[in-house]
Amino acid sequence: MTEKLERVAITPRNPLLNASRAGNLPHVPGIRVGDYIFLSGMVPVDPQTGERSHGPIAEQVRLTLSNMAHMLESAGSSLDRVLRVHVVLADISDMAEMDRVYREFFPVDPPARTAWSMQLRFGNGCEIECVALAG
Amino acid sequence: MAVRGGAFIFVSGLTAIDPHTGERRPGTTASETHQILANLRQLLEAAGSSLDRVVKVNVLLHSMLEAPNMNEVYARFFPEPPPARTVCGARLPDGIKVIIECTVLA
Repeated sequence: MTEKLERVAITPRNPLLNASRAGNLPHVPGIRVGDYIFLSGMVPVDPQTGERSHGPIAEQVRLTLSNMAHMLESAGSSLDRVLRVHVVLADISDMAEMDRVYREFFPVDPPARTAWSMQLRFGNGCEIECVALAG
Repeated sequence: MAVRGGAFIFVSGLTAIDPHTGERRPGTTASETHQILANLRQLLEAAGSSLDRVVKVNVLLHSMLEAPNMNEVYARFFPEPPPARTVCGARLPDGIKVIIECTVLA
């Protein structure tokens, strides 16, 4: 009666955004199971070059959320189907600037969100993960 | 340590403990990662699931400088394709070096 769900790894249409695989890190950018998509922490990677891009925080958040949108669209979903977001900032004082850009991406009925500051790697100013509805 | 809800199992943040005594087993980032993932494997198998059904992992490290040491051990536990994951550095209590939580398919 209960159908056995399986995991399907998400591959971005733009291979330059497959940062974890390119860096030989032991995780995939996202996994779809049934009706849900779980994305790894997305980081500010330039979709033209695949390199990390460390401009002002507004730019980093914009790149990161654009990459999140691309990842969701590659899996047949989109930003308006995001349920919950975790925003991690390297510097908590970037909160207001992050929030300003974030609102551009989720103008109506935004998802549940928690934002805080933690130590990030590779000099990234932000890392953003989400759970979304598939399809 | 874990709660099942429908198709998913939600596992608490695990720290390095001896599975027989429940005592903490402090060590290096690598040894704590190894202990945690060995315990996780056992916990999931006891619940009728397994490491290859893990969907999303959050790893908290006491220092992001230790990320390569964690990754080296971590990579040995998960078959391809590994789960989605986020790794961050955080202030952890009691000298703990690694905490790993995850969402798993039952």
